[in-house]
Amino acid sequence: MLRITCPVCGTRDETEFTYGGDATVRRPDMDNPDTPTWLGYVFNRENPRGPHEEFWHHALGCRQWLIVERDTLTHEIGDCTLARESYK
Amino acid sequence: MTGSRLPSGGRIDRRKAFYIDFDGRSLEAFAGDTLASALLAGGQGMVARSFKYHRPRGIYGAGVEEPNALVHLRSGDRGEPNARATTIEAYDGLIASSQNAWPSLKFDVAAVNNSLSPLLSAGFYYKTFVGPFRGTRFWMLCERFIRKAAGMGTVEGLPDPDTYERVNAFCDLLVVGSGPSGLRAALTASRTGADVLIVEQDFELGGSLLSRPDSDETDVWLGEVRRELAGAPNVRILCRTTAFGAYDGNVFGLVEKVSDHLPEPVNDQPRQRYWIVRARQAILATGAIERPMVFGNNDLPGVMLASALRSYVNRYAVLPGRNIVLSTNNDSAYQAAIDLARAGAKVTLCDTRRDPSESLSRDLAASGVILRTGFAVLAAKGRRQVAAALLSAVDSSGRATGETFVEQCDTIGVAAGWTPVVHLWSQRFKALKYDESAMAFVPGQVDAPVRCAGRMTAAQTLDARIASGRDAAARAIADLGLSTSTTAFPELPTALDDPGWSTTQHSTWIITNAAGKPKGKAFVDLQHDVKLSDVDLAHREGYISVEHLKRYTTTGMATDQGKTSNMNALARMAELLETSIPQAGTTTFRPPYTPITFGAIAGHEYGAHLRATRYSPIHDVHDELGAIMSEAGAWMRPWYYPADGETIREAYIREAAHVREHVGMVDVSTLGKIAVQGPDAAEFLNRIYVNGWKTLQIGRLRYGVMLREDG
Repeated sequence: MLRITCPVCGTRDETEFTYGGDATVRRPDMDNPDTPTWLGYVFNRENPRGPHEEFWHHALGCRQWLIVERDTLTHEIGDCTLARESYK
Repeated sequence: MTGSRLPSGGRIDRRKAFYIDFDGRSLEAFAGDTLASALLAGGQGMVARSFKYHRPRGIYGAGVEEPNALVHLRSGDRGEPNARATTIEAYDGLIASSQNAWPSLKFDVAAVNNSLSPLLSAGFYYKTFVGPFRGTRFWMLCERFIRKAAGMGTVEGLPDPDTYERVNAFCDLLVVGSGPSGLRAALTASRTGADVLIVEQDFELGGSLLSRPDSDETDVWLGEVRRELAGAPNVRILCRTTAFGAYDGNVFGLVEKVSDHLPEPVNDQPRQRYWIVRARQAILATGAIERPMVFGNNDLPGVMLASALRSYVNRYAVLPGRNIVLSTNNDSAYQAAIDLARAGAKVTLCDTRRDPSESLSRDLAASGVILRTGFAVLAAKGRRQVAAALLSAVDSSGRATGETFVEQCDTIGVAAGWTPVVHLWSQRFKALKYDESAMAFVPGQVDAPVRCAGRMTAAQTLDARIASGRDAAARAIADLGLSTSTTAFPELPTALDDPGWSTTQHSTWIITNAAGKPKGKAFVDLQHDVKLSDVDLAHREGYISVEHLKRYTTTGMATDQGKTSNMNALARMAELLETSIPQAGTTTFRPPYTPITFGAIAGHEYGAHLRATRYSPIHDVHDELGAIMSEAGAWMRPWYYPADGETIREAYIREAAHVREHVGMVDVSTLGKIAVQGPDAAEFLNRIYVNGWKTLQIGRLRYGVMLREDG
């Protein structure tokens, strides 16, 4: 029942989007041979209480990948930007 | 048979008289009656049998808090089990029947459970059937019979012939509840031009004002406010609509009963409508529910909430009994006693307090009500109906101090304080705080566009409640960036008889003998047949957390979600733990506030409308070839093509043999396809698939394996 303001399409109901995972982690380089780094990326996640950045895919709209700031406690939606512009 | 219709008065329309049917008995009713008021007017005492013990039960309340009077409404494919008689609007030709009793309400075979009650106490399924024999075979055998006997109503299992709609709605301000505080809030907001949506579960606006005598001074105010709101173009009023859930993003779920007050939906109307409302601001003015006193045999037909007695007399012109004993610990029952005496009943009011207010005592005496201070009802007496009350002198913890006597009566009213309806607030925020003077949980502080007003915040007098509605609206309006109107608002005459329930209330809800034990079975949760002894048992067995207490005893888990039981269960638990109620804690409320039907949520999305069937472009060819189809997701795919009289196995063998020796064709058009193009297409696929792709030649096919990052 949340509403997300897509930078392309405007404010839309959450049901138009699909959740895409934690946007605060970065996939290690494909050639990286270090197992602990890969284990950390695949299995371990922080579980913050408060604002959190995550990927959302506007599947039923512009189909762009977005980074959305959502408060894990109150579900308040904050900034919403195009992933290709803001992903670090 | 104790109830009767008063010759005049009430808010019913006596010009519209008709007949309704309950268990084959024809009863007179008027427009504005509920099934419960018509039953009481017709002298129907017992209307149901309780959940576990099949004890006789009568009507207890006058609204959604009703725990006992659950009936089967209508019949056949439109039959609705577990419908509350107190919220069913009476209409010409209404048919309802009792449930949970066989072969009849009067002679119920399962009433033997009452004698077996020591074996059926809280958590019995964990204890009674474990032990006599090794293993669980004995329990599994008994479970089959218990499962059949459990539950209340029956479902016909026929397809629902009615239709339901879903509406998405938006508003500036949502006001839930149309009592004095909700109406004042809505009025304040409507004059600013804001888009206001008022939601009221009853069939008319007014809330608690409707339980006051008709032609009361408040009726003028009510009429003016109703007229103004009805005439405002920016105000939408939804009656017969329950706000059942409060969700994130200030989204509220409502169910509107479009046609339930009619014999059948007409003009292609849906039976009910599910509203998903997104509100910029919301005000909850959901009122409070009266709290029962707990004593021995407090579930006998004839024991009712004092506020319900007052509603039946004033709103429906029904006198539930001629000889009434009220048991209370606060001021708010005094007006009920006066109204009942004025209607012609002999009324005795027992107040656990030794020194109630002088002015109230004077008013009471002037109406002919007998007052007994320092007294309470220790037990109700009677077989299937209240015949007498055992009154006892009590101390400030509700324990008997010696002097007792029996008072003949046919009705016992209970009034132990009020419990604010904080469900919608608690569903969303959980933040409740304990108000010491009101001895109740009220909404706490949050930073959200939701505010509360009225009795729900434990505001006591009528003036205070209306002021809280006005103030909540003022803050909501400010947040919307609008400005309040300066025109004068209709005012209520001051010094009205509404003393509230705090500041003079005693914390006496449970009346026991000197040792702290009730005299007879004392019920805490009527709908789930949970006794005071069950709460004590749970404590003895170590279930001391409030979450465990709730689930082990099932108190508060029935369809009424503990509206008349939660606080008393908590009070007993806190007493046993020797701690305070806020320290004992509460459990969370969950939507829906009152039961809703699945049909309303499903709306049009069922059958083919829930999931469209998808066909291959050559579906007709498969049909002609005699394919047996199977469902793959939403797609219809051929399973096998049997020749005449072939089994599956024979068809498979013939098909495989044919492909080996000749040619076969398979229709995979139903599968998803992704086209990958470009010079690095094969390298790209290599990085995603486990197997390699660079050796695949043009025009060839290959199956591949993809894994997730975790393997």
